[in-house]
Amino acid sequence: MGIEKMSMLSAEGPIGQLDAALIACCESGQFQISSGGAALSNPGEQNPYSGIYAKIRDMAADLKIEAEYCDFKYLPYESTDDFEHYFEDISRRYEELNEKYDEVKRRLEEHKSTESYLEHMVGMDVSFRDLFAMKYVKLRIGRLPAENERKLEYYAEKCFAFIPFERRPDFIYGIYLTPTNLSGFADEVMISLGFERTRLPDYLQEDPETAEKRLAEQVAKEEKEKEHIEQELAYLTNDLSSDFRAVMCKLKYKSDCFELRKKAIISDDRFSFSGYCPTRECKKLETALGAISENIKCVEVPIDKKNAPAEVPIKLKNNFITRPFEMFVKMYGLPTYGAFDPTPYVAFTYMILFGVMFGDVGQGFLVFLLGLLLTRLTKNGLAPIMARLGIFSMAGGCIYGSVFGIETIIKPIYHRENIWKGVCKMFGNLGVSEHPESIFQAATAVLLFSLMIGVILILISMIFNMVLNFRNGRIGEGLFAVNGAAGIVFYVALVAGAAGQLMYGIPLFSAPYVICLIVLPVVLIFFKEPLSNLISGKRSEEKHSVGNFIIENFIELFESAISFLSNTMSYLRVGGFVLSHAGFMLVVSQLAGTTDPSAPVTVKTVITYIIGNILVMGIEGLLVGIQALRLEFYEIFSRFYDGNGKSFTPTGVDLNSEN
Amino acid sequence: MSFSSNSVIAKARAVFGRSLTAEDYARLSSKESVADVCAELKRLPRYEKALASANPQTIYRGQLEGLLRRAVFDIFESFRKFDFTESKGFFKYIVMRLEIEQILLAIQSVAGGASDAYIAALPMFLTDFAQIDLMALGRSRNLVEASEMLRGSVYSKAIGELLVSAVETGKLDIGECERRLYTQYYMRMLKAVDSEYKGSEQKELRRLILRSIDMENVVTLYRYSRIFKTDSEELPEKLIHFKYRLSEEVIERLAGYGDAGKIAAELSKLGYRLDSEPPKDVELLTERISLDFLKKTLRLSRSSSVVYFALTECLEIELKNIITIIEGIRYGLEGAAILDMLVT
Repeated sequence: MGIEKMSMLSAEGPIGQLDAALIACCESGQFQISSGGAALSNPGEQNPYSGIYAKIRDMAADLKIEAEYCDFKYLPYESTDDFEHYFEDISRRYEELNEKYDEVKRRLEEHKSTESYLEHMVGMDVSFRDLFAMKYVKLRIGRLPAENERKLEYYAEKCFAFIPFERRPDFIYGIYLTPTNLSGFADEVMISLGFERTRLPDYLQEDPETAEKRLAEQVAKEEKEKEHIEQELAYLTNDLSSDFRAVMCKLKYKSDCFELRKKAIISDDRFSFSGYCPTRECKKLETALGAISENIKCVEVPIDKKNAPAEVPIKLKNNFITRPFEMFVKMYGLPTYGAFDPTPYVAFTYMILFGVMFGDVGQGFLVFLLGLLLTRLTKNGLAPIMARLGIFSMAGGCIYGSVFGIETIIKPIYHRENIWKGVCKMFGNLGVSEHPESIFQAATAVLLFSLMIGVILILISMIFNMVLNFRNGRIGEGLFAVNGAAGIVFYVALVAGAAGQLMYGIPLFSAPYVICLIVLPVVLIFFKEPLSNLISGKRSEEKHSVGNFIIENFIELFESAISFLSNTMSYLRVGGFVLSHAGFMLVVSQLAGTTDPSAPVTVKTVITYIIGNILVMGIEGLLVGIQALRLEFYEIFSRFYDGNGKSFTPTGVDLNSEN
Repeated sequence: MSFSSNSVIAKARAVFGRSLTAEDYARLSSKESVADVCAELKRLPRYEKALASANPQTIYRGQLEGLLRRAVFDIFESFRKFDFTESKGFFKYIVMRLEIEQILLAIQSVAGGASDAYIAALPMFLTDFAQIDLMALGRSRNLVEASEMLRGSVYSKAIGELLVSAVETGKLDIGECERRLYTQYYMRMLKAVDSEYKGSEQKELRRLILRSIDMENVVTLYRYSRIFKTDSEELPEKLIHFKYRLSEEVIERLAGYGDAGKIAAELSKLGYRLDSEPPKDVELLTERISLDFLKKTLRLSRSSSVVYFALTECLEIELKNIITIIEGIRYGLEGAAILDMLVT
């Protein structure tokens, strides 16, 4: 469990085998190439596949074919010419149909525009044939911006007349008539006034009402033609789609492989590239490269954890139980190479917290089943997590005695006298009820127990931080940091003193106790930097004035003290959710009418319980999941974990990338 | 500051926030036709309502410009309806300035016998607010009739006699008409500021107005000295008589400079600074100086009148930019060349 051991693998061989070597690395899925840094011998080399790939991709968008990874080995196309011929053939077939489609669309738009004018002219009982047949008078149909109607007064004596048919707020629809010999002038004037002329199709000869009907028939006909062309386009797309996808995949593959050449160093007809590979996969990759040609030589150098460079990518390695929780660690940030992988710690603490906050046997079982089902059907990373959480939820349910909110099937812990006596003794004078009837009467114990969980988890996190610092040679950090030995002593002393005082009436805060276990650690934390420098023998690089030193460290100390308190109190939410879960189920049982144990179980009861449980599982399950994650990130990780590592991304083809 | 002031400032800044960005201007300048510009402007929040019923395929330049002017005027009117205090008063001056522009266009068209073009371009939305009948003014057959149309209005006193004398001499001094009308405009505005405002608000407003006057005078000075080659003794008579930082010595120096770089350096000494490289065109220089200052004022001033005034100036500049783009596209200029001509 932890971080996969990585090696730096370098390959070197004749330039003619560079593409094959890169393809072998991509196909292994276990190699992340690092940037070569040096220029290729032909830095101006253009990727021959990128142009045709861009064209194919554009065509895929036109044909509405989604890019999807599929097998392409069966395709006979290898060279760019082969792909160009394929593209031209498809393009020709598509363009023929597309041109027809554009033409139909254009005609439809024109007709629709004409329709919008005609509908304003219904009521005019003169046919267009008669109007347009006039020899000495020209007629123009269209619309004029309403605000410009007043300007027509200026042209009152200019021998053209505008006849409005319908006034709208923005436009006036109508016609203007002008003597034929003055039509040029009239047209210019009306254009300058913003008149938008519409030209009627030749076949519309009748009066507007009849013309509108004729136009509607024509539009219907053209719509049918448009649908027919759309169908043909759809058939074409269906026909082409699988081969097209395969072509896209192959082109992307070849293009990306070509781009990888830029990461190789070339000199004197030989190539060289290097990258990271998990140590246990190196032999396999070396064999694959050796199979291409015996002239390709590989060198493997395992990376030392203690002196690893910062850019070593991280691949987490965990067992079946904890592996799904890598998702949470990646969300926060991966550890650096050689650091501690917190995944198992996250897994168990998260499961425990979830189980405590969402304790119900029945609901936990459903969550478990749902998790299993989704793991099988989907690739959702949360599904396997759900399956594991369901088990812990069931365990929590056994402790609370809750099965789908019914607390009479299993005996809850607060009804088990021998165990509960021990709990009451443990919490001493803090008013824990000795014979609680329900979990609400045991609320004090629940909240105290949550605080206990919080104190334990905070302490474990601080111990982790201390041990990791010692392991990495940062002795000063391990001893004098807020999350180091001094902080641990301070925190434990405070908690023990408070617990002793409040729970058992034992006054621990004596002068020696306070001085040695509280004041002294605070002083050590305050002087952490100079003390650490003293131990390591280094000098501080920055010059601080005494005043600055005091102010900065005082503020940091104050902040740390507050954070101890706030982080500890934060765990009260665990107890809060236990109670709220019980509260929700109480409401469900009241709605179902089962608060009286003698009440009969009816269909209504069952339905209410089903709906209530679904709602509680959905709402509370989500809330608890988020809150547990929040506790992990803020209260636990912040104490010992950095998350500055880079993810191991094997070199390969990504169809979703833009290039 | 009253609630009304706060709300006017908030609204003004919100309106300014929807101004065209550098990317918008770059996109517009790269278009190849008026139709494309119209289609692009239809997508922008400021103009989408005004251009909703415009058809990019059939719209022409004059129509598009008219709709854009209407869109900007609607913003001014929205403030007038929104706020019962300062914005209402300013609206009067916005209308007055638009009226002055139309009067100058009208008398030029009457003098040149091109009334058709004037009537076609007249923004009808203004006629509801204007003091004079702009259509009737445009229909005047000669300048005497035009002068009659202006009788009774505030403009008659300024240019009435000039129009009559133009008929006698056969020469219309449009520059002098412009000077007199704008002098009257600024005089009335400054008088209103002095009587209706007090303290720092009054100072800020006066400063804004006087800066505007100074910038206009710099452009006038340049045109008359370089293009019309007017004698230096006559130059002061061509300027609007309110001056802020342009003393007689400065005017004399500015008149002697032939290029925008030297003028920029001189203006910089007076506090009229430009944060970027000065352009080669003097008008563009003064407008960019003004815009820089207006933007700062909009962001920082706590006076609603000042913020509103700054907004009106900025909106006018934006409108001018779009018209420049449209003209540039019509004349087939490259996008980069058009961008260089914008006030940004």
